[in-house]
Amino acid sequence: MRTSLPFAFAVVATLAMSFMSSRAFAGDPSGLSGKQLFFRCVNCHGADGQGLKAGTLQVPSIAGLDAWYLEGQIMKFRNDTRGAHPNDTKGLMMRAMARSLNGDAEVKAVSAYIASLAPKVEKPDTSADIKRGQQLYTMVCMACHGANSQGNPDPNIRAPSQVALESWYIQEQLVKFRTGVRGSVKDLEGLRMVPMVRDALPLMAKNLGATLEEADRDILAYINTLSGKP
Amino acid sequence: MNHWIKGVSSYAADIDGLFWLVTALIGFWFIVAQGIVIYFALKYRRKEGVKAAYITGKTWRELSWVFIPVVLVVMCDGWIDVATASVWHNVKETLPTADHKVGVMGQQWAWTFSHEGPDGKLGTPDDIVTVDDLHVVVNKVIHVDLQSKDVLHSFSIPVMRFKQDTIPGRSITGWFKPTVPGVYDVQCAEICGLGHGYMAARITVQTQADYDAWMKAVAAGATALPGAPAASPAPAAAPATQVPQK
Repeated sequence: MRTSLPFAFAVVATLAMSFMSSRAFAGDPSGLSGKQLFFRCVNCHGADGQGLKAGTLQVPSIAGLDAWYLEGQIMKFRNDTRGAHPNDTKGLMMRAMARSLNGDAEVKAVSAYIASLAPKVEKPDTSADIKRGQQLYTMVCMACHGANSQGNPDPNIRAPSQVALESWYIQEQLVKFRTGVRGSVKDLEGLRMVPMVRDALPLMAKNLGATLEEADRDILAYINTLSGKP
Repeated sequence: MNHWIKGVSSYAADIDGLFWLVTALIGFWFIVAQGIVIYFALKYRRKEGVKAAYITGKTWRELSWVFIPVVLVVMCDGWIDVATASVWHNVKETLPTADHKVGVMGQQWAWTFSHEGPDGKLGTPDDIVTVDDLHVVVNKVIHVDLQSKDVLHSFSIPVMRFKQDTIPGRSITGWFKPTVPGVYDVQCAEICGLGHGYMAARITVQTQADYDAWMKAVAAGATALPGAPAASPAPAAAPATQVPQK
């Protein structure tokens, strides 16, 4: 009798694990909270979502971004609207991790939790021409992202606040939009970004006597002076 | 083996044959060994008035219980070695002339495939580059040029019985010849980081006509049209694109 008890326990445990894993494969939500789900983001984005740099891999801060924006981006990674370009090294990593979430409910839950984290505060680059950055921002970015970069969740716009995004990350995305790595034909918001940063911004920069690199730097510095509030 | 995982390459049956040979030999000796252990355990179990014998293993009769099984097992090992050598030679040491070449780049956590474009050459601007979506022609010898951008990966197509590591800084050529059209799984078989479990892809084995039609559609940008949002779980393959080569 004593020896049959552990055996019975092993059989029951095996059956229970098989049942649980079969439900997981069937796509059933796990019922985990956003905080629990965030555990799988921590290795790259850090325990408080502030981003980190590991070797040559720099991972952006995501803390405090709008929940609707986070949710939209994770869904884009999941359905190949973003991060599916062969040259988008980081995007391909995020694409795989986004798929580790089990269904829309988990995407929503983890997005809400990340949105609740304290955003990273970045000081403006004092070497930049912030006044020119303001001019460029007003001409190129403001219509969608708002006067204070508060973002616009309107379904026809869906432009995020850039305040909680790090400057290096925005710069990296600008390059991706310009080179076709981001902004596929499935990505409606991304597609709107392409002509703005690839065509309009260089033209405006030229009119103001700035190179494209200077224009990017000035805009990013100006964004860091904004409140992100309506 | 086909009952569990289909074999759809020219050498799948050879590898399955090895699998069954090893399984049969090990299975045979496992049953024999367990049978003897159980038989002896019952036959020589504790009995009233019988004292356990202290066996030193010094007599030839006692030593024969060690040496005879060792000789038999080594003979079986030799059998496996001989059978393996010919399959290894055919699969890994022989490189049949390629009908098509495909570039395979492993990276955390996706497979990027470069297909020969309309010019029939790999490494030219018209190459068709896809993420997690490999297309090949049935009954054609496919050479795969395996590379890695970051860490060790292993390019595995179970139905082809093909598996080969990809190593940063190295270019490794492998081959297979698909024999049955269909869509099959591709996986990474080397732990490569957090997203390893999601590093899955698809291989589509198709007729020459279907392959040509696919290539034409990609070249025309047809497959890059906006698709309906994917329901969870998300699909594995990304749309094909033509990107400038290095």
